[in-house]
Amino acid sequence: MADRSISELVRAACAGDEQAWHEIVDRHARLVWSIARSHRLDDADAGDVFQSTWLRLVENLHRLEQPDQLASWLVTTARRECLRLIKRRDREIPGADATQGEDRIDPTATPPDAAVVRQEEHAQVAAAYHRLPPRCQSLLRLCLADPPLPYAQIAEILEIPLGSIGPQRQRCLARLRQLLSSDDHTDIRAGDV
Amino acid sequence: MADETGADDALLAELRTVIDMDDPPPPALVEAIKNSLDWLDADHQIAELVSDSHLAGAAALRAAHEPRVLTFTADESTLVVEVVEPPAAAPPDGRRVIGQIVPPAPAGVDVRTADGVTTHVRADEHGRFRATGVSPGPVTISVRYDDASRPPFVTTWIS
Repeated sequence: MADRSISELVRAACAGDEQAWHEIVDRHARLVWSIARSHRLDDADAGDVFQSTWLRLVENLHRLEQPDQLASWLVTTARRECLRLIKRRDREIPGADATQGEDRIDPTATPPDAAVVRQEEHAQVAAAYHRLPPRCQSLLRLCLADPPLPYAQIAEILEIPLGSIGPQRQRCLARLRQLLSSDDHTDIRAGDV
Repeated sequence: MADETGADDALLAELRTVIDMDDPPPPALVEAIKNSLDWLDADHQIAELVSDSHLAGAAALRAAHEPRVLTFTADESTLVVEVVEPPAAAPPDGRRVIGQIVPPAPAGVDVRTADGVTTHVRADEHGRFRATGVSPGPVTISVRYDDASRPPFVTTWIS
């Protein structure tokens, strides 16, 4: 199957091509989800933002001015939906400590067969990632977005200066590495600190 | 940081995999979105939102206890919708959507939620309709008049 460009997919979806629409969703679902999570929304709120963002796209599909800039349109829309929801609920984003103790790794889970070692590596990286300050988690997640986000857009989402993205990314990564190495011999999967 | 790039790339690649596995978009939501392309029927006009009581600068606290009133307009129709959230103690499916079509006319009305569930109700000769048990999340309403000479319309999503 030849890869269709985003503009081609958008055009096809406008004409009712379900397959093209599914591909658009598959290619960008993680991106939209990352934006919601980068605003530190919980499952329900992130779900709301995710849904409204995609429904806005359905509404605007036939009038997108630059279909090839779809990723950027989705990011902008998701961000707007996040801010709208936060404003509507009239409440604060949880502070820096709120997610600190979060540990979604199940220590009792037994990974199957040969993937064990790899799973353990993943579990360690995941545990270290969750122990990063929330700002770092958001930043790294946005830096890893697929399709990639320009730094300018990341800066806008996180409301930090463009020039600080690179240095902050370095610092967050160094912190992650530090968490990984310092915990080499302790059971970081067994729980939070 | 002498060896930063190569090692960092490897760590970032690992981290990308971890995030994808650890916190992917919920599959049920992805499925629902995939089924949402047919929102706009070819013959329906889009009724755009022109006012929303939740955006009218009302304090969030007050708004939470008052029905949300929204107005949509298409070429030849106006629709005023009231969304009434159930009390917190009630079952989550107790949400009501009450509408008034202007100018009034009998019509078939579909109230659809983002999970793909559609509730079909009738608007009476005064253009009034009411749907109950509407599940939480975004809602859209489509109206098809009994008088086929009036163009049907569908509202943008209420979220």
